[in-house]
Amino acid sequence: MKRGVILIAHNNEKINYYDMAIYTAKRVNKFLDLPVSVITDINSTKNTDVFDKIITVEPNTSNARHKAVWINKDRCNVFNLTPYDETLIIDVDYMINSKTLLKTFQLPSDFVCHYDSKYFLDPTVNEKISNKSFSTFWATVMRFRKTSRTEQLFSIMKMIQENYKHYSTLYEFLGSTYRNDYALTIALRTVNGQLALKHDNIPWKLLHVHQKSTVLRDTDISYTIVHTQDEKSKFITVSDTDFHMLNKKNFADIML
Amino acid sequence: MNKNLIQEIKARFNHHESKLYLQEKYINQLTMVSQGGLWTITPELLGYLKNAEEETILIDNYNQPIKINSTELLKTLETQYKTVTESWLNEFNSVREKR
Repeated sequence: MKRGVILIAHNNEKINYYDMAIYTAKRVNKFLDLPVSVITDINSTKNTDVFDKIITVEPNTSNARHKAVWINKDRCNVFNLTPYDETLIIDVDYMINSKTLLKTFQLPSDFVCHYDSKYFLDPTVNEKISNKSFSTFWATVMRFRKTSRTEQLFSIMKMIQENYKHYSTLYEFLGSTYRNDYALTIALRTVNGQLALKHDNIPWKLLHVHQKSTVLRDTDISYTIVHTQDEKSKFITVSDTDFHMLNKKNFADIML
Repeated sequence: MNKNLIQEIKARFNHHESKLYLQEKYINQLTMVSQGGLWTITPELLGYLKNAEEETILIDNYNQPIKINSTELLKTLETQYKTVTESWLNEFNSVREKR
């Protein structure tokens, strides 16, 4: 079974996701020792030998966030695009800082993703897809094997993506921006007969760094996270721990 | 550089959050796959395995019954438990000393 990592990186007018992908790929090589392929577009790609394969696709520019185009509609195509039998899809703003993700390959389910999450230094609770509905699964980290169930899962994600307005009305999504997390949540529940099955969960929490928090690099594996609220700042230091950074500009600062 | 910046914004080291973070970090490390099951290593599980028959059936974290070899599983889990709790204690003590 060939294992590997897929990153998705399409630049927009504000953020260079491809540079973030290069940085994350180097960290995958360092901590996980796995080949990394990138799904990108011809306008984002540049010369580098860090990737196993560079898969170029036509970018879908129909989504927007923070007053910029947000090209995030390739995730449902990864089942067909991946060159690996066992694939780990990671967001490029996920800071790999340990070997933890290797454990996802040992889990028995053909598909796992995060369900439980926590924000460092912030009491924000796990997000829901609507005020009346269920908690989101997170598409930030997904590990899958090619089976008929996972093929079905990705095709349902695609169907939800293509009919997002309908699902948005049906589930009363919070916001109109296309979110892979929401598509995944509905798709995973659908393939499981509307149940949230525990064996599809990564059995530890996805740790987020809040948009308003700042991450400072102490060493290559140790980071200080500062959070300011009501003019009071507090910080903690984390090491050997992966985390998901919502502030892309801060991620770019750390890469330097 | 980070120390200067932290002093400049008068940020305070948060002991409570640090301890919660350590809990997340090390409970994760105490959860492992072995012999086809997912286990969170606890003193109770280790205690049970010490007295279990050589071949026994345990319910794992996914609520699935798994037939295991108790001697081998105990050895694996106990080694991991010792390593993780030692690291946890060391980091916990250094957090306590921080100002």
